[in-house]
Amino acid sequence: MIRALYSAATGMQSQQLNIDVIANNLANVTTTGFKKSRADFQDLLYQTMRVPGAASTTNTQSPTGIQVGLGSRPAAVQRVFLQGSFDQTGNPLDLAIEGDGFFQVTQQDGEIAYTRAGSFKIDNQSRIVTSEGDPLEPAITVPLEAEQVMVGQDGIVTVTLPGEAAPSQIGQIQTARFTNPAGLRAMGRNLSAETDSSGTPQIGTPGSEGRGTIVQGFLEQSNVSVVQELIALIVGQRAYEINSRAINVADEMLRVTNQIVR
Amino acid sequence: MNGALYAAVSGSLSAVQRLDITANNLANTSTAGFKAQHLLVSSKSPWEFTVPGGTSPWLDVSARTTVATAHQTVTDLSQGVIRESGNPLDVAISGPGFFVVTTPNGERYTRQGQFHLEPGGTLVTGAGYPVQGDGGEEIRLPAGQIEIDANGGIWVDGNRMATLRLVRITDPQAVIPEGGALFAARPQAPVVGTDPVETRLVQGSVEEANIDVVKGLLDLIDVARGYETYMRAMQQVDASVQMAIQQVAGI
Repeated sequence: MIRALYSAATGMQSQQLNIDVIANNLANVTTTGFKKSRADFQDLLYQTMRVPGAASTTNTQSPTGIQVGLGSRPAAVQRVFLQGSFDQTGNPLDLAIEGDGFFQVTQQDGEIAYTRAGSFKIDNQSRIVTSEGDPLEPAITVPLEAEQVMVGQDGIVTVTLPGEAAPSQIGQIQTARFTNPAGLRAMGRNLSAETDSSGTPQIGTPGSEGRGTIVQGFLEQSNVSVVQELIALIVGQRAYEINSRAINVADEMLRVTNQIVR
Repeated sequence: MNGALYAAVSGSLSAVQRLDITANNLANTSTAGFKAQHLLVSSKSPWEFTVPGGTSPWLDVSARTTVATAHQTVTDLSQGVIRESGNPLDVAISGPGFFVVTTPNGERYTRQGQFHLEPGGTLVTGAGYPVQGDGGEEIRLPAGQIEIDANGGIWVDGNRMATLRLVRITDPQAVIPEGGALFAARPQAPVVGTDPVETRLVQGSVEEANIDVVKGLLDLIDVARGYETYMRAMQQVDASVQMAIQQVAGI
């Protein structure tokens, strides 16, 4: 059968994945700390029908031969860790990381996960937790009577207590940095987990050794650009369409072939 | 047998091959660094179809007709559009040249500069093949702010760590596509370093496939209609042969 049928089908499958990824990006335009993904593609195998250098006539050689490619395939879906823009909220427990690094949180099962979404709250045990209730690691407990919570650029958390002039330190937020953040496993709920590909976290004080600083009263918005995604969506849709056109042509050719026998 | 029939058959066969190649190009519109393939079809006189070493015509066609044969595929190495992606490990090549990667089959070349870092900090392609530095070595980078300059120098937090190896295959016909966005060079083809002025790298950008979608669509129409014509020609030849048989036999 005509190879074009199958090559075009791989093209349509690739574009389908492309559109899936774009749709997820668009669905998370307003998700705090969300990092967009991008599908990367590669060409599939090439079938060699005439070896380069083979004799094309008695006296000449075919310099490049005949090689027919068999379509495309997805190579990777990569997360792009560009900084999102900052949204000023004024809420003292809204924290953004300006630069590299992740907040560490302890999940229900005790495993550490990493997030850039710094919309923290205080739970019934006075701990600083994420919107899902996972406590920050190292855990920080805010005294009930505290009047004001302040977070410094280096992650030091201080509170003012009634009747005391000087603020007192109650803990320090530490951030984790990865050699290859694109290798983190996205778990949903704004959380990512360490993998072999991401490398082990390098934990330390925000602002040191290339880690970003902490900005209080701001949230990091998602780094999805709606315009860029919409353009990618148009391109993906058209590419899908043109591949289906190639299938049409192959089909039409087979139909014509079937008709020559009367 | 009738030479016209062979001519029409050869035309329809090369149309199928052209469709295969066009479909592959169109399937790769989103493959970064992809280079379009083209099929060259040439006409041949029957005396070219000789058995190697022999002189007698290989195909029994009348000397007046020529047939079309797919001659060779060529890789169009023209520059693709460079699109900004913002990802620091996306590197596009502006100008001729390739990155060099180490694969189990030996050295391969690619223009798909969508690199990743492995856990140990090794710079690899999307398929996980290490990217070569200018000495042919693997590139290992520490964590930090990565900057890549126009000539392939890689800087991490302001310190120069490595230089990307960039090569040019001087004979464009020696560039053989292998899939996976990789190319091989034909044995003995000269592989030289690139000119630092002519070839420049653009960090945070991706080179798109150099496919002209409009031309691809025109090719599709052309192939479909051409194929129909060849089929019609075959029917005509068939009809005339049939008529000849019936009328001659009717005498």
